[in-house]
Amino acid sequence: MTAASDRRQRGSIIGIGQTELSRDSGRSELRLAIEAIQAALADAGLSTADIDGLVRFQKDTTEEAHLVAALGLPNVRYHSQVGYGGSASCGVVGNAVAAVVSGQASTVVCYRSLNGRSGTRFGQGSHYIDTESAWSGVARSDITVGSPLTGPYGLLAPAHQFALWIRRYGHEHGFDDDELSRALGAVAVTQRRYAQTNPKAMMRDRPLTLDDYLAAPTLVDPLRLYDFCLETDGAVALVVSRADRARDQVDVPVDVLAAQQHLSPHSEPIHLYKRELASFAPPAVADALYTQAGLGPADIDVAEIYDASTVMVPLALEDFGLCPRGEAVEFLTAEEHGPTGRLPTNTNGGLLSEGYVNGLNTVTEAARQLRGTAANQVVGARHALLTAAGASSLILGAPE
Amino acid sequence: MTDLAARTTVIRPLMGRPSDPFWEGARRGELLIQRCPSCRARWHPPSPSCPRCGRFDVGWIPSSGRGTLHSLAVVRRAAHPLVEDWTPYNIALVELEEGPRIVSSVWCDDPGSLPFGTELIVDFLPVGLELVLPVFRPRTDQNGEP
Repeated sequence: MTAASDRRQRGSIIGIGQTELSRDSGRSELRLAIEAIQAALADAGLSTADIDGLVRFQKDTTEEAHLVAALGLPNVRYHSQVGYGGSASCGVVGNAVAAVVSGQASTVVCYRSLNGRSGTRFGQGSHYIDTESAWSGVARSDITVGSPLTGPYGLLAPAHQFALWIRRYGHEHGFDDDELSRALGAVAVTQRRYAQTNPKAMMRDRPLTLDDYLAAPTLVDPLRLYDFCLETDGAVALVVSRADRARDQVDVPVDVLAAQQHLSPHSEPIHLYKRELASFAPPAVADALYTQAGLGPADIDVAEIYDASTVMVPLALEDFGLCPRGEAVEFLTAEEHGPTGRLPTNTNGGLLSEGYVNGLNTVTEAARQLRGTAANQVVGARHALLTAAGASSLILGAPE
Repeated sequence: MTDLAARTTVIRPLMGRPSDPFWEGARRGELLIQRCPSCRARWHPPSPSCPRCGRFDVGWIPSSGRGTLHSLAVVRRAAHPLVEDWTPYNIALVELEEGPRIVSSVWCDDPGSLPFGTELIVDFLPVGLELVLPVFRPRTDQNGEP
């Protein structure tokens, strides 16, 4: 039993909201953000007047000030942004917790809203370089995709970096491209199966077999079409409060047992020059996360891993000790991430098959698992581990 | 793989950036990396101060151009219309013998089956009139020259 004093040092997720996920929302990112926030507030039984903090992804186009005006928020006293794209997806929750525990705010909304299919498409080279003519362009990106040092070589999509990571992983652990593909195919196929029983998932009516996966076109060796996340229009929001107050606000608060962010030389933006290519974060990151939660890998019942690509799943499983180093390929090929496996993972279908709300829908799925309300409920789930490529991570817990 | 000289399209680096000396060096046939004159750390990509000792009087030195293949991926579907003409092409990470890792491309037959760890040496290939691209070839003869 956690003492009340401990709860004052901890945050809880007390509300979650999510719009429908589509290829063309037909409305603005600001409007989607408002809808998701209203849904999260309704879920928490709160009103807009209760919000006094906002934390957003730095990449989000919906600015705090615009939201404050649109929602008529009378008194926002804390706002912050977390950088590096989807790496923010656990970090926004960590920042919200820091605000409520320090007393800088009491009720903080985290949000992500994007028209990722009908608007800006992050997987396209045109997002990173300027086209001058039919025969020339200029690499001007500030991240390692399409930068002045990488664009001239044709490194124009995050997909290219994912391929460089996983081929290095294969080299270090003795797997060829075919062996990697069977494991990555198992990620894509199993997550699609989860999506088929998730009414919110964009791919709920689109079955996928390993044969389909293997027959799909290769974008960059060894990665095929289904190794990449969807492009999605939609928004997700969640509400964070202090854990002691959360007990009075909602019946089933989901506690943030640990929150960590990680930066080391060249680990962001989208690592390529970092020393370890086949790992997101050094062991100290996982150690700090588990120590903060007072738990170990064996205590984790469900994993929700940021999956812009299938390749992020094996790397994250190993980085957080959820399977031994070098054994993720076997773990996945044996379907240990499936509903009857040792560690159900990305149980909503993930960004690959539910939809890509830049990873914040990964956090809401973990919250549903710990509330016991997930579409693909892991029976008795008490602890969920979440990570966005090691750059931000959470352990969430069901209320005791 | 299309020979660089036969490419009809080019992606140039944005100039006016810290990477300018890298591309200016390439036009002179030099593969430049940064070095601290004080503690002799060498690194890439460039930075205004030494990541080891913090000094600001950092400079650029030519790399030997020798390195090993760290990772490589063959792109089979163009992510932009400008690279349709090149596709398939490869993107390689090369660990230079001085330590830094750089993004490049390997120029040989069937680069996709080249084992990681293969010893490479830089070559400078012009693309159009404005850009010289440092690329790598496997070191094949006893002199280590391509």
